[in-house]
Amino acid sequence: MNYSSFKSEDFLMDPAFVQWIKQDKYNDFWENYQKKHPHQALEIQRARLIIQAAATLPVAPLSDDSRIGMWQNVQQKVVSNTAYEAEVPTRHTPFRSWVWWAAASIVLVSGWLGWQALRPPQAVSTAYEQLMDQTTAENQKLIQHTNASNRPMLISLPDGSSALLQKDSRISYSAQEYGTSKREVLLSGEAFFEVVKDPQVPFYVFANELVTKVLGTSFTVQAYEADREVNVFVKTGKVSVYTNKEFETRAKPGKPEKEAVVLSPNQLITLHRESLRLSRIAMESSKLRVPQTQTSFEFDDTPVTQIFKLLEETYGISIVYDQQRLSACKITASLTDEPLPEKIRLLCQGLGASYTISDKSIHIYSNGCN
Amino acid sequence: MAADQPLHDEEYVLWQRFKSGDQEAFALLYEQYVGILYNYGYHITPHTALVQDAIQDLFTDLWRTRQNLSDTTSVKYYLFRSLRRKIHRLSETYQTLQSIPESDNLPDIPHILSQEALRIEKDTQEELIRQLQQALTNLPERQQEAIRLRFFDGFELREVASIMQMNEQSVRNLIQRSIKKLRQAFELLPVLMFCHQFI
Repeated sequence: MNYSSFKSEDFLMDPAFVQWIKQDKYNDFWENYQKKHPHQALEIQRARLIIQAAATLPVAPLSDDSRIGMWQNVQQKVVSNTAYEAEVPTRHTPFRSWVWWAAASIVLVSGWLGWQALRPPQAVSTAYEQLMDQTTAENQKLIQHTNASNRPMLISLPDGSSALLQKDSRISYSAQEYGTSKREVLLSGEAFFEVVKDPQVPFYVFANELVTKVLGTSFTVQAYEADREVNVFVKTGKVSVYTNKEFETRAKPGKPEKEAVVLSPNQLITLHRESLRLSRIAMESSKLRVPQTQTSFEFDDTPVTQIFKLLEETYGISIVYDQQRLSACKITASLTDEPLPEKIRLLCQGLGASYTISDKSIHIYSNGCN
Repeated sequence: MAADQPLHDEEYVLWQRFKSGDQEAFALLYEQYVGILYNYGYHITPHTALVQDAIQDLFTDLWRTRQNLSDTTSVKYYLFRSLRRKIHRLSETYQTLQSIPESDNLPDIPHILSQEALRIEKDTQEELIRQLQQALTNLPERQQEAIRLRFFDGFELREVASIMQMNEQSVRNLIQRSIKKLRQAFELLPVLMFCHQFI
């Protein structure tokens, strides 16, 4: 191969060159080549830097919880369709790599889950499972997220809305229908929702015996299976709530929806699950995890690090960024009830930064401001 | 983790074990590839739930159809190709896949090159890599994807072509176009050095 007329882009397309940079192959050849062709040093240096830059791009982080959760979902799907044995056969093949240990711990967890899934159904299934059955009966593909950790988990929904899922909580929605014909989520446990406004397609949360309907707002629903109450707290906008029964028999199109109880900002409503009675109670007596801040974020030439800190405290999600590099960045912005992912997008747009959002953290990549 | 190497014995054995229904091998495959698959998927669409769903589907199908799978030459290549298809199919059902606006333009920078550039200090080199990475994330989606597959994930050109369902020459063109744009980042270098003197 005659490389003497090569420019950086030609070197980049040459497999032997790439292997040299990435895997230290053909060292002798290339070192010798560089000595003999000093006029190409700049081209070679550029090609090298481009490969290095591409090879060290930041990786979108996948949290342990997601990794394990996804594996559990795979196991569950596999269990429900084939005679997948729940118990993992013990083997005595000596595996030395750490990978095996990591995998082994997953198998243990999933083995247990598999066993759970194979257990005969209990006499009374939970409200959440009943709701899921109704949905799956219609041949729907559900996407489910489970938060088994102690920290809140940020779930981005397909329409840009978000749910901050608290611990021991599950949420699911239809892969096909969500965002197109309707926006419906099932919840067990607690979540804070920030819903993108769309008057044409109302957003519904089905949680235990309560249905919450909104057009675009932020609110928290708390509906743990073991609790005797379901709570809904409104932070911004207006929210209608119904009991399941009321929802099923509610007015047909054209008729007024009499049964709905309408809530305004900072109002809390409680459904007593046994009597199915709704009552408003004082906010202080509830233990709802509503992001505790003002409803709007007004920033006037505010250091962006301060804004990130405020968002971290408000949502309980960690935001990872280079403090030093961003220390000179200031932003003037008015954020209200946009979902958190949208807030981050707007801020990054202002910064000229890029970002990644995962369940547990948000990463900001920026070169800083000068 | 180079795809341009023949299938290792270890990988071959693992694949055979998996195909014969060994759940341990299945777990190992998952553990080994889930991270890089997620990273790849994430850069096709930032919709994390969709990517996770596609990966779940991928592994579920992998297990279900394991007996029909061939002795693939590269497990990694096979998984990447399948994941890409799944993501595109799923995003049709979601119909809300938000694509990153395609911008072909990097800021125009005056073309000043000097021999100074050869004497690159370490700091400047790191700064330059950051600039390049920034420029990389501003490339149009398909260019980014090709560059990532080739230089980040280590696939050969023909594998990149097959994963992206293009012919090899088109991938070549795609990568060359993006390199041209990345080269503009180098023109920042003298400017940077200039700045350093005044800060």
